Amino acid sequence: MLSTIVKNEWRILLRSRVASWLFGILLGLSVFTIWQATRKVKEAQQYREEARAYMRERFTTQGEVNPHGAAHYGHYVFKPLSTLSVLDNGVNDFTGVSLYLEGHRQNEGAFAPAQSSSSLVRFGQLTLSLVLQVLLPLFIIFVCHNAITKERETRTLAIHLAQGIPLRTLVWGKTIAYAVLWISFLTLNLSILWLMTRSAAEPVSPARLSGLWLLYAGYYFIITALSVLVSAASKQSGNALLKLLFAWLLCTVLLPKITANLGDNLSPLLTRMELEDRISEDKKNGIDGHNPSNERTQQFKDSLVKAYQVSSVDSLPVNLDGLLMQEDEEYNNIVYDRHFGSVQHLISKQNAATAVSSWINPFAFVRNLSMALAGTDVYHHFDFTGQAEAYRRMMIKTMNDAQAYGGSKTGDWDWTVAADFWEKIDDFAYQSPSMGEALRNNKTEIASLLLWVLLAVVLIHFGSNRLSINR
Amino acid sequence: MKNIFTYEWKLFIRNRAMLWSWILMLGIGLYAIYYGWSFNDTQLQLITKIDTAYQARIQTQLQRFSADTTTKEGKADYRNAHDAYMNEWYTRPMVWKHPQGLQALSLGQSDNQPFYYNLWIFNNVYNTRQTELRNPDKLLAGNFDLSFVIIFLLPLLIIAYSYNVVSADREDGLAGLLNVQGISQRAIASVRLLFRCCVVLILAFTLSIVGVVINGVATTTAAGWLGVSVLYILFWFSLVYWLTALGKSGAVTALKLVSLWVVLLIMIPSLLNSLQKVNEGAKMEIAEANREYGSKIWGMDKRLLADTFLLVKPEWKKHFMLKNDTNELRSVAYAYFTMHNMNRVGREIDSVAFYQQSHVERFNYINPVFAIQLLYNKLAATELNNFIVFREAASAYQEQRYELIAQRELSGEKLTPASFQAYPKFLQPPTGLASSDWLGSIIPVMCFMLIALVLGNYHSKKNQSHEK
Repeated sequence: MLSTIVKNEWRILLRSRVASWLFGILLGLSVFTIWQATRKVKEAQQYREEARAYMRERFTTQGEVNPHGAAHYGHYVFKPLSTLSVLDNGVNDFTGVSLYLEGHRQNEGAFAPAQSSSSLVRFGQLTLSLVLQVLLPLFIIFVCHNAITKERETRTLAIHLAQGIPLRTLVWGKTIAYAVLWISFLTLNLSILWLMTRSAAEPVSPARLSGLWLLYAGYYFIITALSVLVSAASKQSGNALLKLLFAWLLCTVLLPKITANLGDNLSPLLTRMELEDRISEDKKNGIDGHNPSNERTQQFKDSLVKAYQVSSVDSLPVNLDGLLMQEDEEYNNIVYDRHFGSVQHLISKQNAATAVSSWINPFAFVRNLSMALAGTDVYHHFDFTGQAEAYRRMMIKTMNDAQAYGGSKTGDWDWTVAADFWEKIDDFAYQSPSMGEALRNNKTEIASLLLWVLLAVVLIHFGSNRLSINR
Repeated sequence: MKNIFTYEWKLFIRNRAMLWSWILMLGIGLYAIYYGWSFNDTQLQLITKIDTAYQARIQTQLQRFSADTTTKEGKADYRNAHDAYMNEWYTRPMVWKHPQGLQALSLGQSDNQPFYYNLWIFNNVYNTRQTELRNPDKLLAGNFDLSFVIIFLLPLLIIAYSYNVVSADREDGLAGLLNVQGISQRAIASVRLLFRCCVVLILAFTLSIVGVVINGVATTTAAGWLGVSVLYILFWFSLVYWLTALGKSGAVTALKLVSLWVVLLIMIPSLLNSLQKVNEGAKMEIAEANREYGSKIWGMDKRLLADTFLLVKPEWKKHFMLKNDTNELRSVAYAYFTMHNMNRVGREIDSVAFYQQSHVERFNYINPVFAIQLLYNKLAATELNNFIVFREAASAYQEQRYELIAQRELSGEKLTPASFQAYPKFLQPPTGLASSDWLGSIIPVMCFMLIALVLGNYHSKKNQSHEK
């Protein structure tokens, strides 16, 4: 019986010229967005790879220079662009492309593309995620709003029931029929994406792609089920459509903005000035490698004299400058970890408002999980800056150690390392987190996805038969 | 007409959905005004802090001119105050883009751009670290300001109010009765639409006036804002007029209007945005200009550096210190070359961004909603071009200060309190819209309106003749 209902729905939908046209337009649009985004992502990946290679070459061919001078000269690393940003560009436009690594200070990502754009950037990009998260649900609403009301309006609902088809089976049949269609559309799109990005610099992770398939399949099941249920609970198709359109607008346009702004109000970030004041205040208590009269510097010198059992710093068998610079680094690392950590913590708290809203808004969990799986959410950005910072610390320590133990004398700032020294420092290679790690920050969203699916199943299974036939 | 207006008024008062949606939108609008006001207030508080600290530094330097030179610290203070270069280091001049009142109503790109700079001569506005801390997720979600409410939400209210102005009578079975009485349905629908337009205009005016008063917006700017709001509301009513005139059922008209909303507010702007060419490499040139060029200049032989410097600044040859290989010379020449090189690269990049913005504006004929957003942002001085102009003014001011400092540094001439106080002040670059800005946005919207009205009129007449 169920399969008959499913087949019948497909037949009706195929005969509907409007639905076929809309479906065709949506498919054309999604293929266009994949093609367009693939082209952009490949260009960006190529640029970042070329820039990385150029910067690496500049770094390794510095020649015979003083290592601390080289620490000030610094090094640039680039954030690799996830190939799945073809599907979901996430916050990429608003985070930096590269990071400048230098001695004494920790920098943040720089050169966010949105800073060079007009306010058109705030309208978002026509990406596959926009089609899958916003436009396809609208299409689902247009198609499913009259799934049951149509039967009620044409008086066929009573005939179906008289023939022994329970309303529950009818609702299940229609939900399955439509959901399978949307999931086929999704599968087709993800297959096209996979085919088009096969030649990309970074291959698409099958696990993440499967995760995205599951996420969107669940999302479409929920929307289809709710649309059919609203239709079943409405007297007229027009009423059902208006209710569903209102819900769509609320979920995709209003709530995301409201929750993001609410998060901002509840956990406001520090101003840049406050942050820098706090950092410089804390730094004052540490060692300043470039200021020999600093009190902590003096204490450090005394401890070295004691440890090496020499009469003065001039008799030290090592270069004091290198040790001081490293001590300066170690202290600054604690300061930066504390303050940058608190900024990241505040951002996570702000984002928690959106995460919590996924209990009432399916769009919220699909948006956050889609970005997480595509590797384009803010936590992937934090992961990149974290790994780049770890690399900076290793790089600067290597340089300071060379200054300290490489055979130079304290105060000899003209001392240089050998030209091949730079090759010994490994290149920075960003390791994208595993899918499990990527989803670690989205437990609320995962739980709400499961709950929404469960809710849809429960409502259809236990609620359908309670609905009135005539309303 | 009076009767229809009275009937519509009674309907509006008695129809809970209509009344409550109006009140709800008023509440949402007031929240948006509060949100924008609090953003502006935070910026103003920060500017006050920056200004207070800057003025305090200036006062400290002024006191140092008459420091007690009998002590070691006093001597250092006195020396640092009279040395133009060191004085500049201690003063650390700051400039900021003063937020206009209207910024609170249309935040534009103001949360995504630096709005103050430290102009110490070794800093550069094109390679600054002074961007405010922002949550990328929040930037992605966008701001909930009044321009968002008017641009995104008011059209939905217009659709909800007006989708059935023609079909309601037919669906309620009143059309025949009205025909028999010789009352033109076209006239009724037009007056009905006019009444509902007034209801939405009153809402927009109320919100705008509250926003304008709270944020102390100048009268002319406020008039511009109100004019743009009226234009946008009329634009949407013209679309409603056209689609309702097609004579379809209320549900079909609502569906078409919502689809149009999706196309105009989501699809067209996002499509044009995704077609924008992003040159990631452009800004890396700035970083490279800073690092590579800077280290090359710093590593140059001092004599060679002096000769090169004199080639570009021959008028400074008279300054006696140039004859010696001094550290001052190196600093002054280094600052000159790096500043000008970075400014050159930065201005080129900004001119490309400027060009891209004007390129985007050429599409206003198919992107009318963005045309309106542009007008709002430009009135509020929160569009990309406003930040580019501010950046340019800041870098020109830095160059101006550099000239004064470098000349004194090289000539060895001491800075006096009078000459320190006579340093030029930073002037906020002028804002406002050129007539081309107005026309570039208004004409496309008016074209849309005209087409919709002509089509609406045609279909309305056609349907009326069918009814007869």
